[in-house]
Amino acid sequence: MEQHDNIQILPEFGEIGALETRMGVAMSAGNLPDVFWVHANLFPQMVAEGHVMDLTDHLGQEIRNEGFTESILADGNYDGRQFAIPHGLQSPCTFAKVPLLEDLGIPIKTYPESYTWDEYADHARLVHEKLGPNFYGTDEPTSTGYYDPFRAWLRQHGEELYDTSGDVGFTAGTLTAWLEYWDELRASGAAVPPDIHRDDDPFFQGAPMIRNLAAFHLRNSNQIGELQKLSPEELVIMPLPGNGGDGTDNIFMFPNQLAVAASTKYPEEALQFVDFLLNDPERADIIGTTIGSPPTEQMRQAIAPNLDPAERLFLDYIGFEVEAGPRPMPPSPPTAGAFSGEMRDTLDAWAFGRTTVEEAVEHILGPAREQHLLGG
Amino acid sequence: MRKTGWKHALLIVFGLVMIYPLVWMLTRSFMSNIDILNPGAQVRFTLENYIDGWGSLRVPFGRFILNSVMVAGACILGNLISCTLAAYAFARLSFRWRGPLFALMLSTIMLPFHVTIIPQYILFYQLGLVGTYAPLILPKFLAVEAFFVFLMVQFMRGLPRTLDDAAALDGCGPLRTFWSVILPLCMPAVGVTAVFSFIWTWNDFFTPLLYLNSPEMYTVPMGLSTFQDSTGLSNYGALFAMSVLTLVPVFFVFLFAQRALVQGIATTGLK
Repeated sequence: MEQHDNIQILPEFGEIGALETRMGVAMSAGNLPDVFWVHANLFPQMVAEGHVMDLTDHLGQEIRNEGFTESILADGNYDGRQFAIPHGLQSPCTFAKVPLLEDLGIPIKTYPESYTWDEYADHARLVHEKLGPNFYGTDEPTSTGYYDPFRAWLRQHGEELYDTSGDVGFTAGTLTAWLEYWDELRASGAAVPPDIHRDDDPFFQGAPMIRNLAAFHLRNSNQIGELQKLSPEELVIMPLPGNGGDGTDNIFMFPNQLAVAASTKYPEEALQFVDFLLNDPERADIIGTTIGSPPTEQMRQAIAPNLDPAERLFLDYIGFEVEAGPRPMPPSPPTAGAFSGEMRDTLDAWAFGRTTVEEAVEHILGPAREQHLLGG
Repeated sequence: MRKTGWKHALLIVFGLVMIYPLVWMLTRSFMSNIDILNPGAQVRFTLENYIDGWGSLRVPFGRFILNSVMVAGACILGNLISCTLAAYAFARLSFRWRGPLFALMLSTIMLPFHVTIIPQYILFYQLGLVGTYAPLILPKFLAVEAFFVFLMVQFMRGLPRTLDDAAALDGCGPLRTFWSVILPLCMPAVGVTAVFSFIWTWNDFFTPLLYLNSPEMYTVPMGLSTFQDSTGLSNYGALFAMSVLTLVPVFFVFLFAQRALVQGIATTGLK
């Protein structure tokens, strides 16, 4: 860093699955990097085993915290102590192709409004009816392991994916209704068949919307910049169905977070570096929205002039969500990774018709839950 | 004749199935990212993936290849020195606990690799060797590749004992007997060890992933993985192009070492 020529930064980067493996092994030897980008699956375990520095007393001291609202800090907070701080905000959303919606007379609804789930299904059906048979309304997120729309559905029903004790936070009825909703959409051609998802990774280049196979795409809002580069048509960011109107309380974000290793030999420098990553306008300008929106309004304003229109849409989207002050979401339990992995396999079988909705629900709330969440 | 024709046809079909993924990757490496993702699009031949892949990362891809050549070379050397010596001891020398020690060594073949990852990492971390090539190379000089030791032992056991006796009569000690008599006769097994050491090291992704921190030190598989970034966005064209380049050394090693490989495997009783 030019500003601190006594500090040398050695960056390490890589594909996220590989990084997770590497961090897992390094963690066991107490050799985590001084400052690192937290991976959601590993983090609860890292905190539980004491590998992460408690930053509570450094907030407002070495790390300036003006503009960090309670809802933004909630994700890195465990039992009232702050172990990670968000440096890139992102959240689920609904992407769509603007010209296509306009041609079909489908209204575009941005915050504070959103579609209801019924409206979303109607629009997706209309797309298939008008542009089918090989063009669909929406991708189907659940069977590909993308659970954020399901989380939104649960929160709108007063439930959560996990409760505060680390058990599942939803009932069989809500999961059944969710799977039946998507069964119906698939049957009517409103949602893409599962084999299309299996052709490719269902994000970025592989997303059915980008491959010109669907009108809507449910994914993380920070992807707008890359998706727009891949799409000749103008894209728009809309809220997840049900999260606008009276439902803004259900909004949730998954910030990319920074943490400091408890075993760091350079605690002062590490905290200084975290402060730089969070609060330096020049740094924010260089990174832009690559890892999500800057967490504070001040940094968002600092980077806005140099962004393209799609990225500015994203900043407005996140800005609304931060202001909306969504209700906190219980943290994932340490074994969430194993549970969601099994859930994904089960729902994969459901999507391909190898199990019924009843069997899938029974397995997820039965053996999968017992083995991975109840320690059976 | 008809019988042979059927067999040939079957082999050709099987061969085509085996080579299809390679041909697919080779053709895709000359297509733009947009054409790769749109199977129906008109295909235009381009070399941009090779140019992009070679130079678009912060570290040129040639550096990864050089690193891999260096690591693979050192690993081959380590395996050849340590495994031949260990095998000679097990096959030819008499010492206390030889049988149990040999059994113990063999049992490490059956130990899943994943069981030893964390203890090994902790050991290298405590020795201050994480972030260097030592964890990749050092074990090879300590005869930890039990498979190669076993292979050599099998081969050496097939050599007549009278050779050792003759060497002893001529005044050779164990090391001289090993160097002048046994090792020259073990060349087929040495060849197999060298070729497999090369291929396994060249393709190893996991060990460099754990131990190498700096991109300047990355080996080829690590370099390839950087074409897929942490957000899941991939430069497929460059990835395919560099994968093709990465396969070239393996292809030539196989081509030139094929005879030694077959001979080595056939004479070590590992058929």
